[in-house]
Amino acid sequence: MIVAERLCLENIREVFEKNINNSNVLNIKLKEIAKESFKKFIELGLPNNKQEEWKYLNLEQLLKSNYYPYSNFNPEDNVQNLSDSIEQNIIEECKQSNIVLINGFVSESHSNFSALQNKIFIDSIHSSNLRDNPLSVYKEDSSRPHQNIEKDGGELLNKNFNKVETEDPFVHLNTSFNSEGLFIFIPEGVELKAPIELLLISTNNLTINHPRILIVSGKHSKAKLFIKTIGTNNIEYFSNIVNELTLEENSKLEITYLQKENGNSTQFAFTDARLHESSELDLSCFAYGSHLSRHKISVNLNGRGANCKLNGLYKLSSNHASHNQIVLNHNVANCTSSQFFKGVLDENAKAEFSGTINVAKNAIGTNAEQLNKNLLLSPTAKVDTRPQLQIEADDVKCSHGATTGQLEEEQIFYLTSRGLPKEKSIEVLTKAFSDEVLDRSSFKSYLL
Amino acid sequence: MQLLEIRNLKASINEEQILNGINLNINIGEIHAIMGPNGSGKSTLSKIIAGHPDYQDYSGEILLSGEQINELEPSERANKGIFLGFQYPVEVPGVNNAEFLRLALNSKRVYESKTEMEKEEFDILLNQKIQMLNMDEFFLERSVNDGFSGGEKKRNEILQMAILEPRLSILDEIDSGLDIDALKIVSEGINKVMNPNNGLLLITHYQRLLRYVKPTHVHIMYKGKIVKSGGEELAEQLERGGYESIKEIQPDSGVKV
Repeated sequence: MIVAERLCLENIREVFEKNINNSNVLNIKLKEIAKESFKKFIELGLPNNKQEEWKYLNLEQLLKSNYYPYSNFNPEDNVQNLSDSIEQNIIEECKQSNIVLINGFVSESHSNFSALQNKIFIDSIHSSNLRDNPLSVYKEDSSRPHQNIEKDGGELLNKNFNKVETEDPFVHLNTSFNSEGLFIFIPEGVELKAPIELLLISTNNLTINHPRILIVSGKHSKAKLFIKTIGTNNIEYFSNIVNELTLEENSKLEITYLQKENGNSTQFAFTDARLHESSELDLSCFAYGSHLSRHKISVNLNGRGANCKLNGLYKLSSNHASHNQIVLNHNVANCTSSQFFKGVLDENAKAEFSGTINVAKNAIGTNAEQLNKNLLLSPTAKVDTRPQLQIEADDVKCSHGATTGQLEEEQIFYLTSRGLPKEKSIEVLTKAFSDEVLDRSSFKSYLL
Repeated sequence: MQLLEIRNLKASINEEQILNGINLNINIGEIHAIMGPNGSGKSTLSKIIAGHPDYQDYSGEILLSGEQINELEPSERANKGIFLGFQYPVEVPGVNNAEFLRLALNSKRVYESKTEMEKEEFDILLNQKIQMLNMDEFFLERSVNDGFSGGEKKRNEILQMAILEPRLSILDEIDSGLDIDALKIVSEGINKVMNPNNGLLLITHYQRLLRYVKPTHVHIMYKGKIVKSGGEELAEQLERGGYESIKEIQPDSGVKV
């Protein structure tokens, strides 16, 4: 195991160094960020099960694996045969408002965002040296809010990129490698009617890819996103995703995140959200694929009156495992948050739900709730659920709860006594259990 | 024509003998009432006929139209035409009532090798039944029995019965928990669903239901046995004199009547 771990790290270091020295992609500032992050990653090292946060994850296979990160990948090369599977995974409402990332790189030829042109700003995070023009502009003068990150024009990116405060090595690994990334800025006052789909697809065997998404929603803006992550059949890969979300004052962002990676894959996702005054984040996460997936969600309620709703459903079978780790920080007064996560586990599936609510000393008038419910369809399925509250303020309303159980025999009998075969009865009851979460997403029909 | 035949049914739960050799014959067009004090085994009998998985430990034979159904799954029994109206209908949050009714009917149709009924066609049928039973349409929009009052749950059972058109309905204490108005409504519903081609087994503690649904046969069950059978007059005797008036029920039995 130790040998394997070293092997993995050495691969990564080798590619990183080659990458950083030869790169004409990154500008000086981003190169610095990448170097610092890599230093931090090496310092932190790969995690082990003695660390609290990683206690429930079975890391053995990942650490043993001989995955290589990408050094340089052109998403327009050799991906013509992907057209069909991309087409199938773009939902009806987003045929003209989608962005496709292949192995973490934006593929212009597979994306269609014509409906977003002149409304919102879309570009790759590191694009200033990559493209002559941004993918989509929102002002006639084609200004790039992050064109020169070293100068004033880069303020928006400077303010919002790489602001995750964490000791999580995989976030630093992502920052070291995120070769291009996707930057979406919804300008002040813009309300998008059509949703945006981001399709993240992994295509190469035995690779680590590092998709990086930064979304900044400007003051009083409103948008809906459907993010779906998939992988080509039968390949083995590790998708290490970081999403950064900044919600400016009074903006509203609704995101449905569907993890449907193939069964050989590992996905770690880290979503870091910063909410300013009276902004509203509605994030629903669905974990259906991957033999090992982890979604860490860190929310900072930084402005008064901010409201964050997190919903989640993990539906697993085989020996798949899903880990949901949530940290919700009420940093200021009068914010509201809710966490509602449900799990349906069959066969030997395993899940973790760890949800922490931190209420700072001055965060009076906080209203926070958290609920985790699990349905075990097999005696060998297993759930670890750990709700935690840390409250330093008075005058707050916090609740949390967790349940784990089987379907009720009397309900099954009731349905079968009406003629539904037993399997169908179980299916109907399981669906009813899941629907409670599914009904909270605008994209329900694409989540079944 | 014979609909249900029960031969020497004996059952125990947790090693306690609940049924002590039940024999019962119900023909098409007949309405049977089984009455008896609490704890006499009436509900156990209904659950065994419907195939409840907790009541597997029994001997004897159950025949539906001459076919032995002892080994059949509850869903198969239902699809062959047995309907059990629950004493305590189960709440199923998240499952839409109308959708559930269509699933149930289509399960039966698939079992009978018929094509499934499309939503449009089913909605017409459902509306007919709703009107026939004087029910409110709001029943259909809600989850199965979820948050229903006692009376609403019982009416919902009758609606299911009306949709599924079973050959044999067993209604277990359909009258319990109903006030007199609700009892009348439920009884009217039962009478509308009954016809010369089906049969009914009413299980009840009280005689008052039988004022509205007239039985052709009345059985008194006591300590897991049918101790007396007769016609409507038996129920009337019970109403006048209570269970004490039935000489087969011994006053020193220790059973609370």
